[in-house]
Amino acid sequence: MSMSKEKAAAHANEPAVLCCQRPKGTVISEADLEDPTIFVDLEDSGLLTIPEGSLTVGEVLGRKLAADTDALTAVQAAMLESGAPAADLGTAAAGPKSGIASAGAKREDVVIRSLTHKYYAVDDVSIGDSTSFASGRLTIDGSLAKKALASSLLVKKVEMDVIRPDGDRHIAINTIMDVMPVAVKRTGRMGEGETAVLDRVVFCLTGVDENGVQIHEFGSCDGYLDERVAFGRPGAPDSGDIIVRVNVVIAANTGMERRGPLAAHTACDVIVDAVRSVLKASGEAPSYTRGYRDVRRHGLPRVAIVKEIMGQGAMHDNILLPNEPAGVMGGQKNVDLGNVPVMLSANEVRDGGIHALTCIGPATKETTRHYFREPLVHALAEDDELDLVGVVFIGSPQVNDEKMYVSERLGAWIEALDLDGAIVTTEGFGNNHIDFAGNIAAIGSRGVPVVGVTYAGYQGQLVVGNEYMDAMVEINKDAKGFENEVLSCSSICPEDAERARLMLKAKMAGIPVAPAERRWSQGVIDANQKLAAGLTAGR
Amino acid sequence: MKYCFPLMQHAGAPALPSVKAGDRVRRGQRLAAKPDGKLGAHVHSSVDGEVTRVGEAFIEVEADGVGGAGGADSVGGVGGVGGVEGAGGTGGVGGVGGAGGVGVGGVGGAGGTGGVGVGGVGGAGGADSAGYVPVEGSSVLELIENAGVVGAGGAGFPTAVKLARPLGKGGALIINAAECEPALGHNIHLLETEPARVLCGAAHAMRTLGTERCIIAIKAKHARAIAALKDVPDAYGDISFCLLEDRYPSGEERAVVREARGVLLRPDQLPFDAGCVVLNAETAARVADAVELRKPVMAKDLTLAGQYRSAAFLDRRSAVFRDVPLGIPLSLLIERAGGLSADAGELLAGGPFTGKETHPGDPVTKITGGLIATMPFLRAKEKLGLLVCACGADEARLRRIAAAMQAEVAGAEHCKQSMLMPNGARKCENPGNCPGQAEKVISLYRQGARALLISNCTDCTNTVMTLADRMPLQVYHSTDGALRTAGAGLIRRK
Repeated sequence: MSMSKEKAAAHANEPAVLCCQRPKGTVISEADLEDPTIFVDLEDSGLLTIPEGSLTVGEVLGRKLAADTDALTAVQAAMLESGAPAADLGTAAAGPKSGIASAGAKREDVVIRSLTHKYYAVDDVSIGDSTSFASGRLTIDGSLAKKALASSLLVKKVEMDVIRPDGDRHIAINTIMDVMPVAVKRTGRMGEGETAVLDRVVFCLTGVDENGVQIHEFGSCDGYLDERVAFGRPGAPDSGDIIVRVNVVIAANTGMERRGPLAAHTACDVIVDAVRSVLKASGEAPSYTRGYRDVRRHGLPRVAIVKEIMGQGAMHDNILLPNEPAGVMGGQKNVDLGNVPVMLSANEVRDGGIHALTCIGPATKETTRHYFREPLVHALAEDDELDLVGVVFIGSPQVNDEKMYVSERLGAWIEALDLDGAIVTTEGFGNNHIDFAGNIAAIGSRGVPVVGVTYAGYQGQLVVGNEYMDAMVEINKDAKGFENEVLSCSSICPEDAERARLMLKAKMAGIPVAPAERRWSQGVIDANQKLAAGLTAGR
Repeated sequence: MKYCFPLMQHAGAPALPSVKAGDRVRRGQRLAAKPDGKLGAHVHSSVDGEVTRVGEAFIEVEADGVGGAGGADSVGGVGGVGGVEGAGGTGGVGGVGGAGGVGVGGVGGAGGTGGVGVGGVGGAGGADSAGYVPVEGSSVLELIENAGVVGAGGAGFPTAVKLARPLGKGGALIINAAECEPALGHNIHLLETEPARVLCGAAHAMRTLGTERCIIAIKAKHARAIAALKDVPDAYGDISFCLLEDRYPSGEERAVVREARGVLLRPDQLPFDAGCVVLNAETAARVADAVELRKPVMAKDLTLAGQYRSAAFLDRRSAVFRDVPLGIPLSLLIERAGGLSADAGELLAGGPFTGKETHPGDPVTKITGGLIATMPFLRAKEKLGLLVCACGADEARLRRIAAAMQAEVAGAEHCKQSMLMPNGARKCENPGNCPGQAEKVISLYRQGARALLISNCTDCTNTVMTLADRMPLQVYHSTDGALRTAGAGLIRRK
C-alpha cells in the first residue's frame, strides 16, 4: 500500500513500484508507491516481478509518468519524462537519545558487589550408599530417589542414573524438562560472596506422566540423548559433562497443570540439595575460580537487559531467587508475582537466580543452566563501555490485557531508570511474541534505543510487529528454521550475544541498522557475525 | 390513498409533529417542526387530506380527491419517463402518468407537462401552481428553513444551517452537479431542462454566504447541461465550471472540494474549512422554489433503474421522474414503471454504490435519489473475500450480497483509507484516489478467499482488477446487479 513520507525516505533505495494504476502526467509521490516491505509477499503471489534496472523510490519521487501505467509496475527510466530531478527525501526519524559516549558526564566505576564462583571438577559420579564428594569423585546416595518420591503425592516414581561422556550416549530418554548446575552458597547472599559449583557434571530432569505422556507442550525432546541435545549450548550439557539423569513419573494428566511439573522439579531438587550440602562442606581445593562484579559505570550509557520469561501457567513458569543457586526452595514464581517486571543484578542472574520450569519446545526454551551461563548478561556486564544497570525479568501472561499491563509496567521502569538502551530477549515463539512486541514498544516509544533477540526462523516468524522492532537478532540455528526439538539448539549463544551487543551500541550511536529482509536468511546472520567478529577482534 | 411522511428525512433530530389525528391539512402545510435549538428540518404535507395517524416516526395523511386510494391515477403524472443522462433530446419520451395530475390536487402537474419532455418549472404547471400553503419568512434564510430544504444529494443536511455562516474572503459556493453514482440521471435532467432555476437558487445561496463566486462541479461529458447553464441570461455572480472525470466518486463532497479548491479535507472537516459550501444541484432548485415561490419542499426528483416492465425501460432501463410527491409509497413508482419484471436481487433506495436496501412500502422522502431494482444475484462457487470501501457498500451489505450469492465469506478487509468516524460511519481519507490494495487482497487470499466481492470506487477497482488478473481471482462488484440491470457498464477496469 502507499507510503508515508517517512517510510518512503526509509526505503529510498528500494525499487519503486506503483501501488495503483496512474495516468500519464502523474507526478510520482510516496502516495503512488507500494510499500517495499510487502514485495516478498507480492512476488510469492505472482503479483510482482521487479526487472533488472528498475529505478529506486528515491530516483522516482517527483518525476512525471510518460504514459498511463498499471498498478504494481516496477518503474523503469523509460516510463518517466526526462528532466525533473528527484525530490529531496529529507531525513528520516529523529536520532537516538544519546551517542555511545555520553560526553560531559563524570566517569567513575563503582563496584557494587563481587561474587566468586569456585569450580570443582568432577571426574566421576556414581550412585552409592551415601552422598560424598572427594578428590573429584561424587557419590550420590541412591536412597535419595526414595526421599525425593516422598516430596509430593503427585510424584509416582523417581529414578536416577549416571550417563558418562565416554560411554554410550545413544540411550532413550524422556523429554528433558531442565538442565541444572550444582551450586551452593558458602558465603553471602545470591550474587555476592562465594559460591561453590561442580564442574563437568549437570543434573538432567526428565519426565513423563503415569500414562506415558511426555511432560511438554510444544515440542518434546524425548528420543535418543545423543540426537536430542545440542551439546555445548549455554543451556545444555557440554559434550564432556557427566549427566546425572533424574527421571520422574508424575500423576496421570498432571503434566499440563501447574502442580505436576513443579512436583517433578521439587523432587529433583531434593537430590540436588543433598549434593549441595556435601559440596558446601567440602574442604577440597577448587580447580579454578571465576570472579564476577556488579559495577556501576557512571558516565557511560545506561543499558538494561530485559528477559521475557514464560508466565502463562502450567509449565510456563519460573522460580525467581531461590534459597540456593539454581534451586527450587524459597523462590517466588513469576506467575504468582503477576508476571510484573522484577529486577535482578547481573551477578544475581549469574549466581543462579532463576530456576526455569519452562523446558517445553526444548530447542527455543531457556533451561536453568542457560540463565546460570547466560552469554548476553556476561557480554554486557563485561563491556567496559556500557553501564549495565540490571536484568529485568518480565513474565509473559496468558491474557492479552495482562500482557499490556506488564508491558506498561516495564515501560514505567525503563523511564524511571533513565536508560540509554535496552536489549529484549524472549524464549519460544508465537504467543510470547505478542509480549515481545509489546515490551519493545514500551521501551522504544519512550525514545530508548532497543534491540530484540528471539528465535523466529521459519516456523516462529513474528506474528506481530511495530515500528520499534527495527533491530532484531535472530538466534535460530536449525538449518530449515524449525523448532527442531533438540534441546537448547536455538537459544542465545555467545555469538548471538555479541551481535546483540554490537547492534545495540550501533543503534545508540545513531548508526543505521539496515531493515531486515522479509524472509529469515542465514546469510544475513553470517554477515553480521563476520562483522561482529571483526569488531570484537579489533577491541 | 395514504401518504406517509417520516419525521426523519434529514440529518439531525426528528421533527416534532404539529398536527394530530383527525386534523385536516392542506398541501404545503407544516406537519412537523424542527425541534428548537437542534439540527433538523420541518416536514410539510404534499397533499390535501386528513391526518389519519401520528406515529413515532411518521405522520400519515389520507389524501382527498377523485383519484381515490391507491388508484394509479392518484399519483398524477409522476413525471416524464426518459430524460436519462445522455439521452438525446430534451428529456422525457412522454409522461407516463401525464394527465393524472387532476387526481390528488394536481400533484403531478410537472409530470403532466412533462409529457412533452420539458418538465415544467418546479411543478408550477397544471392545477398545482396555486395549490399549496405558502412559506412565510422575512429573510432568505428564514424562507429556506421554513420550507424544510435539506441536501437532496442524500445526506439531508439542513440547507439553512449550511448557508447561515458567511464565507470569508475568497470563499465560493460549489454546486455539486457531478451525479457520480452510475445509472442516476435526474440531476443532469434538471440542469438540462431548468438551468435558470438552479442558478436562481445558487444566486440566493451566494448572497446569503456573502460571496459572488460559484463553481459548478460537473462531469466534462455532460456538454449539453454545461451549455444550458452557460446559456442562462443574466446569471448572478462569477460562475465557473470545474470539470470532473467520469469516475466514481467524483461527486463525493470532499472529492468535489479537492478538485474545485485544491484542498484535501480530512474526513472530520467540513467544506467550510476550505472556504466553501457545497450544494447539490437539486437543493439549489429547492432553494429557488422556497425563496421565489414561497414553496415548501413537497417533491423529489429521482431516477428509476432496473427490472421494470414499462416499455420505456426496455431500451434504456433507467428513467428520470421529476417532482415526485413526497410521501407516496415506492410501490406506486414501481407500478408506474410497469411493475417489476422479475424477482429483484436488491431494491435499492439511492445509487448502485451507496444505495440502501429498501421496501416497496417505504415512502418517497426528501433524500430518495434513486430506486433501483436489480436482477437476482449470480451464484458464486468460490469462497469470497470482501473488500470494503468507505465510498461504497458497507460490510453488512456486502455480507448480504454474499449470502444472496450463496457464497461462503472467507474474510473481510477495509480499504486502508477507510476511516472509522466517531459516529460509526466510515469515510475515505482521499476519495477516488487509490492507496493500493495488494496487501488487502493477499490477506484475503490467505484467509482462503478465491474470489473477491468488492465495493470499491473506480480507481481502487482498477488496482484490484490488476491484482486479480495476475493472481488470478474472480472479482464481483457490489454494483454489478444494479448496473447490469440498468444496462450500464460494470465497474471494472477503466
